[in-house]
Amino acid sequence: MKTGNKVFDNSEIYQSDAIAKNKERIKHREMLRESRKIALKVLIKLDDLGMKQRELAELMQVSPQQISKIVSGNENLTIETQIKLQNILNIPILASFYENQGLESISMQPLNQMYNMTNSYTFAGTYVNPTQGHSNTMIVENEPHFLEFETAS
Amino acid sequence: MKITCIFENQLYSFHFNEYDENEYNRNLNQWNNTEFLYQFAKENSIEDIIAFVDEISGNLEELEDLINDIAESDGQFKRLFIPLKYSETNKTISLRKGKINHNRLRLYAIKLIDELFIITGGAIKMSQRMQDHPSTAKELSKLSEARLYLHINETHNEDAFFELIAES
Repeated sequence: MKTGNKVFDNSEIYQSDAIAKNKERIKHREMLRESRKIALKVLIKLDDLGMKQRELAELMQVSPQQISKIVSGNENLTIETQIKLQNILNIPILASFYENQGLESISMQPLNQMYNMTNSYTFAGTYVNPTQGHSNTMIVENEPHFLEFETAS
Repeated sequence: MKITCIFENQLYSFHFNEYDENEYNRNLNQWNNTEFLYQFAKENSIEDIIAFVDEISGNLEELEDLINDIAESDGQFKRLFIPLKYSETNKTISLRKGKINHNRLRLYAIKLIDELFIITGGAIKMSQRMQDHPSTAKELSKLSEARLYLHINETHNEDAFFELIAES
């Protein structure tokens, strides 16, 4: 690359670790964004509960330094750590948070379709669990009050 | 106080005695720290803390992209800065506004000679005038301290500057 009359070659120019670190952060940007979201949830919840980071460390059986890293939003958290945070603070981090709350939490809308099969009315209730990303179908016979459903988008 | 190299012949940073890191690293690390941003938002009575943290983090990503682009292309870090309006000498520089619109993050630097910048600090800009917010007001005094350091050490030209770097 040319700058003015000189041919620019930055391969031999000293660059501090800061430049390399900057490059690494860009490379891991998606992970860091998620880590930051979790850190914010933890910080907000701790404030809501009036809980100190030191107390959370005791409950999680980790060092206070580990909590400090978590709330910095720079950590690639293990699933085990995420489960601990989710269970102890009751904050949504993993899909299991929603799954464990049961189907009643899923908002549904009727599709207003009804099927007449064999000798009886059969109604299909279809729902998509947003945390699982796939749909399940349940067939209900002789229950004319059921309509087909899908989760509200 | 000392000066450390970030990118040879182009970008340097002051390291003030009161801090563990040089100003470039210290500011980038702070802006990358969610807890720091969260506390900053609370101290400044920000209503929507989540939106604020998202905004600053987005600003930081833009800055990181620009720094990376410069380091990997022409190495012209002067693209990062524009002169500070208040500056009496026109040699004090802030982050280039033209490149990053509406970006609250500021790195402050002194341009010593052509294409050679020394970072003196940084801040999340919360007011139009630097004097009107404690974090940017402090940066003004750090700029003065840095200028005085360069004056006392007689770094009036390139050779004197690199001699100073070698000694520190």
